[in-house]
Amino acid sequence: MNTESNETRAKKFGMVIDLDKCTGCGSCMVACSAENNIPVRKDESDKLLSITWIRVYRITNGKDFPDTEICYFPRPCQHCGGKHDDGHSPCVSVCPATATDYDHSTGIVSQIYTRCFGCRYCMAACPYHARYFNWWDPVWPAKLEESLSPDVSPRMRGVVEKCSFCFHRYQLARDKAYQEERDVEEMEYQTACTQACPSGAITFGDLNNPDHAVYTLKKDKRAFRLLERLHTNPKVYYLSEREWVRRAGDNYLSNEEPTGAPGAYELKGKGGH
Amino acid sequence: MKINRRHFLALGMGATAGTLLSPLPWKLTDDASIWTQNWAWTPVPETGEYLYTGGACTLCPGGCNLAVRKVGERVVKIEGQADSPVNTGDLCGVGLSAAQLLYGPSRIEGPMAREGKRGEGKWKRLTWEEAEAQLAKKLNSLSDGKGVAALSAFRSGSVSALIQRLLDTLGSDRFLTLPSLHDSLEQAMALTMGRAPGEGVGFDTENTDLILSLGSSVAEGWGSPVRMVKAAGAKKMIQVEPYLSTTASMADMWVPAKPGTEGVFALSVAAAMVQEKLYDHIFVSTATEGFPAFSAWLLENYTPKKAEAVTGVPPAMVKKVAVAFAGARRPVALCGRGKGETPVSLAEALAVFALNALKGSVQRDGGLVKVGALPYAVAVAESEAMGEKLATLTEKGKTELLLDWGTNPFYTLATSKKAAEALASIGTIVSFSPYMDETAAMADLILPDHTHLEKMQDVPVRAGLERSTVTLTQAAIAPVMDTKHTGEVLISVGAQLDGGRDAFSWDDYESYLEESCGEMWESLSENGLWQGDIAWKKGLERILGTSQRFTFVIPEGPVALPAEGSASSHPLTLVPSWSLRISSGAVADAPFTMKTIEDRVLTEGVSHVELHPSTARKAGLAQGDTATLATPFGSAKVRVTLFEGVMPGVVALAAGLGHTAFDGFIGGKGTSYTALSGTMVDSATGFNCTWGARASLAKG
Ligand code: SF4
Ligand code: SF4
Ligand code: SF4
Repeated sequence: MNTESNETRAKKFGMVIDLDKCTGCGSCMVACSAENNIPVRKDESDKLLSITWIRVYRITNGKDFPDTEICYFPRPCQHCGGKHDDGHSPCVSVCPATATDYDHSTGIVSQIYTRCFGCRYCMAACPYHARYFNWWDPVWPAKLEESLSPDVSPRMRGVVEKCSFCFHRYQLARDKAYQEERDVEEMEYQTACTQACPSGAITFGDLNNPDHAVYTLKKDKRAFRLLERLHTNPKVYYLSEREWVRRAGDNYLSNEEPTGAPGAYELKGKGGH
Repeated sequence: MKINRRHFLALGMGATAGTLLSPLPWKLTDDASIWTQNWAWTPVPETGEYLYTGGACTLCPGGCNLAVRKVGERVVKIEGQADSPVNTGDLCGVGLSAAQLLYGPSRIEGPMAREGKRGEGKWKRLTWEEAEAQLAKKLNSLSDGKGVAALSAFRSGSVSALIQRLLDTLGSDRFLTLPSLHDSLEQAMALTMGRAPGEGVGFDTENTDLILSLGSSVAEGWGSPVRMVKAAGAKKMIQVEPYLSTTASMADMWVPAKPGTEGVFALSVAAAMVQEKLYDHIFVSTATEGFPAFSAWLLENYTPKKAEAVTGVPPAMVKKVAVAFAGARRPVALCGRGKGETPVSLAEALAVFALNALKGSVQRDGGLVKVGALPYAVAVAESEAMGEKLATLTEKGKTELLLDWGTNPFYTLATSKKAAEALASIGTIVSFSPYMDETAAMADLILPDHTHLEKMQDVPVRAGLERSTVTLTQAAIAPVMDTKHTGEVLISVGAQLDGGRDAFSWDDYESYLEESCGEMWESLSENGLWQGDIAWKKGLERILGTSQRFTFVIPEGPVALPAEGSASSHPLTLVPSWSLRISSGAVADAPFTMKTIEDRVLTEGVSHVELHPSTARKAGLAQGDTATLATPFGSAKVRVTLFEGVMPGVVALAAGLGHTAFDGFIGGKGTSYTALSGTMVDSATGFNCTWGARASLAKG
């Protein structure tokens, strides 16, 4: 692709989410839904069927009153790089239709709806429950169809969908930059959730670019990734001061030290918040 | 051969190796995808010119500024206005999903009159001319104007002034707004610092270094929600409440006081500051009055030890809070449980004022501050005795006709079965709601207003900002339904009233709006926002550093209001839990916001209550059980969610659910906390200050 002609180095877009700042307000979920024409259902409380590309979970430290603490975990698609970070994401590896693909120039895991035939292997393969299936054609009641954005195609029955890191926003920014013969600026391409977060908990950018905030943040002492030991190599990093939160990032046994796998945290935090 | 799953897989495996080289599988998968994507129809969103228009949100009192994203003549997304001093580019989920309210199934098509029984949902469409004439005729036919009451979404502002003018013309003084924390705060300010009409109370949280929150949901919607969420993430906080809310979990210290006793806790902290001489001596001795009597009263009644019997908070913890509060540079104490939608007792408000004053945190950076009155040219006169007048609304036979502009009393004021019945017995109900809310559903006549995305209108912000603020909604698009600006309707109906011609002589609402906003108009029309001076920084006050004398007032009424009912029939205590994901005001959540509600709060249309495992065990309940939650004011079916973060003996229910109207996305889902919460009248103000209710929970 020669759209990158003035910038040859491959990009690796990623996110750093500060869990100590997240208030669980849900603005990211709503902004994402509006940005990406997410279908709605009458009963959104059935979380097996409700579609939320980014979902904010709540976890607790399991301690009894009054030592209980809670933490919110926003979970977009982790845009896994796979073992050795070479594009063998769990979902990409299993898709028989090449409907989900790893873009080596951006690190983004795509989902091509018109190719997807709904076998849902990818859903089974994704360890993060980041994928959702359209069991029905979306119904936009009343005049709701008027609010659909032309930047993102609405999905149909029988296909899987997931967070795209608002790839259409990258396309728009990249086209503009290409015309002006320059590279895309950090702030020109930001995801809808990042932009919407009132607490500034989400930071987005090119993990490979030392000038981008995420480059430094991902190396923070508080940084960790989800299910690190599966070698999925997620591009979403989380930050927390609290040790119990960092521990919740993987299925560690109570007597087990966290692994020294790439990106795994060192056990130095004192906990508390 | 019967092909079972294993055979099928084996066949598949064998086939793969051979066929990869052939184009067949690709053709097959392509066919399969075409076949699986049999669309009934295909929405292809139309494209067009991309642009943003400004605006303001009216879905809560927060007053956020909007950037409305449009494609051609369609609104596709709502975002926050980046340079707004109120919300600096961000919005809550409710505000973000407003495009779905605009186009959604709960919109009312146009003016209509009731046909069939009240609440039956049978309507006759009217023209606007007919609808206005019907309203004017009805109002002219009333024997006594005193039977007319009107509820307005704002206490000041251009439309509120028209509503009051209409009532004046009819001879009624029942101009009402939904009660809020600010009603209590303003009365407390009048007693301690003096107050001119229209002046409000603000908290300069931007410049504070410690927030002592007495039950306020700083991170979940108190005050101007977006501004406060940011504060919650950035400031040190001490949170006092019986439930581990997000605010409590984010706080540096969580003080689980017994429900409803936050005011007593504030006084115990004040007493500890006096006892330990931690208060600001210079401020207290130079700028205040009444300290000797007040401190003696404190030490007699509210020492940490004495207060412990009420609050359950050990004296050591009270002292810790006192030391932290006194030790901070510019701390501020704020109150109003949850989102501040319910007033607190005057005594509790006075306690919080006193606590701030002991630290000198009044009328200075980072403190509790006086906010100037809005300089409207056509202003609203403040109603006397608002508390009693509101109470009259839920008494049978006291109201002949009710006008509702954006408050939805059948949801927000229906605090018991009795209250709901009283509201339903009102002779004539007129709703101006753009949405089929609970009140519109019970109305006799609906004259639907535009939504905040379809009209221009001032939005006076009364949400604890440190300076007076008005924002402006703007018409991002032409009205989607056959709606009409309520301001326009009031001018037209007002002129049709006997003796109303002179009082409503404006040509149209727009020219009236400009006149009404007076000196604020220029800034409003240009920037979508007007802000007054920071009152406490003006003139001499600024030079002296402190501007005002403060009087310590010993409150007369009770600080903590008791809950009705007996402990034997209702052994538990019900409290609300708050979330930015659930709108608890007049307008309900849109479909996108419903997505964000967790399945420990609502499933299959049933609300969950959260309780401590030990509470559940005692009641013979387990996780996921269905149970009946009863208070002296009503009962509901709920499901049980166990949560260690709830004080034992307390049951928490998410506020804002249990709507019966709107649309199939929110209507009929869950239980209304309000409907179970009942009344706790503060004798000093007449306001219902309910903070919860006695409750029982039984399996089944
Ligand atoms: S999170 Fe799931 S869907 Fe996203 S790249 Fe990883 S495996 Fe694929
Ligand atoms: S918008 Fe930000 S603070 Fe709110 S839930 Fe999402 S990440 Fe958390
Ligand atoms: S906080 Fe209130 S004013 Fe702001 S966007 Fe949300 S509902 Fe609207």
